[in-house]
Amino acid sequence: MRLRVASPRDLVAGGVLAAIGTAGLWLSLGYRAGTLTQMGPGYVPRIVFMLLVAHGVAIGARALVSDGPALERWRLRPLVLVVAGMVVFGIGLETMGFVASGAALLAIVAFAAPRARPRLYAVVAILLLVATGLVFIHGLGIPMKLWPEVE
Amino acid sequence: MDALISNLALGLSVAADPSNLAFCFLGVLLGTLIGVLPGIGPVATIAILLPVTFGLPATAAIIMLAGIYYGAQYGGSTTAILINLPGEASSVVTSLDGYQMARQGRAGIALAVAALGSFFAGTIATILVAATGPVLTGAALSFAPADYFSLMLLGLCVSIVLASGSVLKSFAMVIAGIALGLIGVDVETGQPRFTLGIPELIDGVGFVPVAMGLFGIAEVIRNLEHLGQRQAVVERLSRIWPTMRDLRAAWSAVVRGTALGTALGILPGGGATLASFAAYSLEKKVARDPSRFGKGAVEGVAGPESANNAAAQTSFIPLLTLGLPTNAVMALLVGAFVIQGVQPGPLVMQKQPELFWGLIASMWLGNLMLVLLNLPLIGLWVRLLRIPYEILYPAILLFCGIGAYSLSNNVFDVFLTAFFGLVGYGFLKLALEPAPFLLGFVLGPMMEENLRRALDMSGGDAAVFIERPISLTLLILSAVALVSVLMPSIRRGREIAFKEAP
Repeated sequence: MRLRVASPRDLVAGGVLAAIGTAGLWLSLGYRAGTLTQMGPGYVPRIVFMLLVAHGVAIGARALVSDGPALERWRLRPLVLVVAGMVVFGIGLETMGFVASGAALLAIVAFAAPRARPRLYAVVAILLLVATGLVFIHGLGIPMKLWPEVE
Repeated sequence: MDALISNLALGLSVAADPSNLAFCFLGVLLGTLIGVLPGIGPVATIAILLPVTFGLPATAAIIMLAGIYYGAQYGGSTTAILINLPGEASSVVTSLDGYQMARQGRAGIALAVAALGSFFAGTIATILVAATGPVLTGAALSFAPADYFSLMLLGLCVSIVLASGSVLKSFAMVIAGIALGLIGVDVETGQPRFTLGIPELIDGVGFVPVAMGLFGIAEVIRNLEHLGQRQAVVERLSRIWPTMRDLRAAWSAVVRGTALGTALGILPGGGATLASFAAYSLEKKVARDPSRFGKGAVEGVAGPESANNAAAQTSFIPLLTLGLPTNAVMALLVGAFVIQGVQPGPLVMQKQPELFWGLIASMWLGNLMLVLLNLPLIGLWVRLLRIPYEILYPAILLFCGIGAYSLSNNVFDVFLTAFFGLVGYGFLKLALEPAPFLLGFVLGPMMEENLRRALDMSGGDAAVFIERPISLTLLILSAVALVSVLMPSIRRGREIAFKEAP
């Protein structure tokens, strides 16, 4: 017999919160709790994470009985490409300089959407890099290298 | 009264300083510009533009951010009217009648009424902020740590009660936000907590990467999912100036909306959102022929637009006087204040009167600029709406990347932003609201500090929270707020208030 979950979305939500709460609670046991007068670093975290676990469990429990929406499908393509683009931008910034890492970001995220006009995108991307390079690095003086350092 | 006038005069002299005036204008312009772009609400706009203000002096930076805020708010209404795409929750009701007006070729009138109504509301609300500021600040100076703790608890409780969505989940999100705020060195003992051995986390999780990730990056990912489904059809603009008949119909709605908005804006939570929904229901109730609503009634634009603008202004009151951010935008501004080395709260008015009064005066000037800027430039905004999203989102991502790096010239903040983009997408999919999370994140550390100081001072006696009259009153109010949301009749009322849309 399969258990019917009334609200799968909320069951997952409650589960995630309870799991984070449990992990946090476990970590906070490593910090001294102290007393009410002299609270140690672990006093408040214990309370906060206990509350988080309790709320997660409550949300999950309610999801078993009270009807709600199903879990929405995760579309991985935009998610992975956008996050990957940002991470690559971060990694490249200090080694390749702004222009190359910015171009990498724009190239990666280009595939996150159905691309109807690739040529327009390329032109916009180049303009963007020039404009942001001028405004932020020249204009506002953010200390970023523009080009890779030549040894 | 004399004090009020001399304070406002001081404020005007600060705000009218050419460079501050320029930053206010730049803020309003950039805010409108980005707020008008589809899929970017005020919170995302401020988060993206926050790094631009870092290099400015504190007063100029705060004035510019405030300008960005009401510019973005107004930009959101513009999209709501023109393409039925509200930039954020508070302009959802505007789209009901505003878009219908646009389809009848009366978009210009809807936009003009929204601008003029907002200006009127902004003027009244600014005066209210100026008048109540000193009074509340005076009261706040007598607050002890116990009182502050109770005040923040009340702020969190009320913001949950007034927000839309599941109360239980909102609470969980506030607590999760507080939990995130625990990361970093414990101020009292110097012990690093929950840093997982990552040295960059010693100072805690940066506020801007969290906000940029949750509201900027996550929104982009979500919008990319739905790309193609959304077809922006921009209606043609025929005339801009409303007729006398329109004005007569709109006038009383503007006044009612302003009154409702100024009152609701002070309350924590979805002040502007709640105000616009409430104003729409009120207009429908007082109208002689309610069936006109949803079919292009000018009151349906005038009331909610005035209300949300008034509420946007008065939501500065708790922030400036008590240091209490009451919604996600104000939470972002706390981050901006702190980055500028200013601790928001009652001391701002005492120690930096030019900042306090300059900001207030600039609100009024900013609202005036909005009218002057928007009415002639409506045509330009319309053209901006035609920018396809596939060109827009790479720019947003690049700005977020540069902005995150510029926080402390460290790529770790870029990674953090990407991470919170992922987290924010998860929140969206699980219908967990990011706004209470952000509020908990900002208030959490302050609450812990005040809790510990209060108990330290009382020698560990928890009764201090009910022995101090201010604290006791605030705790009782929190309890009332909590109980009220559990009562079936009020719960139903709350649901109706947010489901006014047909």
